[in-house]
Amino acid sequence: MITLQRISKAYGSHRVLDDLTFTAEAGRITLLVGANGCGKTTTMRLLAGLSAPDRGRVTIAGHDIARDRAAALAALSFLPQSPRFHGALSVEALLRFYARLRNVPDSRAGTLVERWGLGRHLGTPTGKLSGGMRQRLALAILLLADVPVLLLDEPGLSLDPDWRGVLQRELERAARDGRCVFVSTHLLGEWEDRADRCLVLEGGRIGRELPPNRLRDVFPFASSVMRRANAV
Amino acid sequence: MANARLTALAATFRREITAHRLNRFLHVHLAIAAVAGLLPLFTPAHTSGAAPWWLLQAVLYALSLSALLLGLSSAHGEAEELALLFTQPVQRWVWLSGKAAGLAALIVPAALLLIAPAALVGGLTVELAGIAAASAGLTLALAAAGLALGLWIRDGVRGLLAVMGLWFVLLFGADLLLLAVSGAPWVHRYPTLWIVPLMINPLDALRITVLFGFGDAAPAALDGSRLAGWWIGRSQSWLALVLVSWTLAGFLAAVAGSRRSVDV
Repeated sequence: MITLQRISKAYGSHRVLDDLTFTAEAGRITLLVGANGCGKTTTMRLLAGLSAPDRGRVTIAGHDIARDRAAALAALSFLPQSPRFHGALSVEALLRFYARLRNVPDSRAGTLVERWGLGRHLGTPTGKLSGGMRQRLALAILLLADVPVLLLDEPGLSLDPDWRGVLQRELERAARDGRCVFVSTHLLGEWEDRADRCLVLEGGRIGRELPPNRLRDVFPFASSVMRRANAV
Repeated sequence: MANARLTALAATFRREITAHRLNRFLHVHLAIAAVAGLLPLFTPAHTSGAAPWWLLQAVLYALSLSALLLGLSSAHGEAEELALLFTQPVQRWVWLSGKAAGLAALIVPAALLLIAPAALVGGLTVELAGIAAASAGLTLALAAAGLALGLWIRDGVRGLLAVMGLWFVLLFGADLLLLAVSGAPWVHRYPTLWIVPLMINPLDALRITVLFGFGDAAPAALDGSRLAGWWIGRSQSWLALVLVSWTLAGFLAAVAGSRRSVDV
């Protein structure tokens, strides 16, 4: 479970988050949506411990990230938006490195290599991977450790529809296993009937919560894009 | 906890070594060391005796810069991955220790390339061993400085400009400034203020050590300042202290730089 309590964050005079409070429960997929610049990425940075709030408290699986950072980070796995890696390292070297950091056996990495279709690219330097392949590698790294909290920032970007389907099934399985899955996304239509909750970030706080089975109706632009995509 | 740290340190060490296999800055650094090592062979009658003078020039004018650039490239190689690296349950100083140890394992043996030809031809002398140790220490200290700059300044061009700026200051800038003020009355009143900047500059400390420490070339007139006399009398120990201090300061600055906010 993750909790943000009365979080405020400003960059200079621009206040991005203002008294933001919410909880994302274990065993559920929670979406965070909102317009560009509303503070989604700032919220993800705070949750991942990459930035500190000006005020308020962030807890990951019961660990206050400011006071017990190591335990909080051990409880989460994070997928940054548009992930990139050291270009000289191969897919295999990277997976082994993160497996060591997470104390995960190599066999687990092998399973994820197969699941994410990376088997033929093990020796390829990551600098030569396409955007989609990099995203799949980052997803394999995300799922290496059996942690209670998964944070994903725009995970569907760069993935083709087939792999987006695989991603959603993986995240549904993670939620069924009791993990807290927290996703920041713009691809609302794809999450309809798959997410359990949908929080809308407006004016630096959660402005409303949407019914997860009506995302296309509530966001007509996303809906029209989906209709056009389906027609094509 | 200690086991987890050791595992993370070893993993980062291996990653650093692997990542540098394709690093052109490392290739250039090793090539310069190998070619510079051949320079003493141009004076075949005094290969061992002349080697420190030849190698001093190579270290001052080439290896110092390539070491700085190597440290910078080591930091910038990770720049795009920091968001993922820093959300792992590993303290940043542990990650950086593994990284620095990997960098040291690559850069220190380059000093052996520097002295190998002279040692093979004229035999290994104390002076040659000394210049190898000094070169290893200096390049390590400057690589640490480059690493720190790279973690503070994550933009590639700005980082490169900062490294070039630091190198110019260490090689020429500080000396030129001191030369410019050398006639000022306050310098004559307080000569220590003039000498201390030279003492803490690792390139000047190396110059003094090789010229006066290994070569015994110090003119008696230099003993006019008590501090200068003290320094020249202990130049090798002082150089070791300066290089250890620079390496530690570079490492601590790199740890501080790694704590800066990360963009995602």
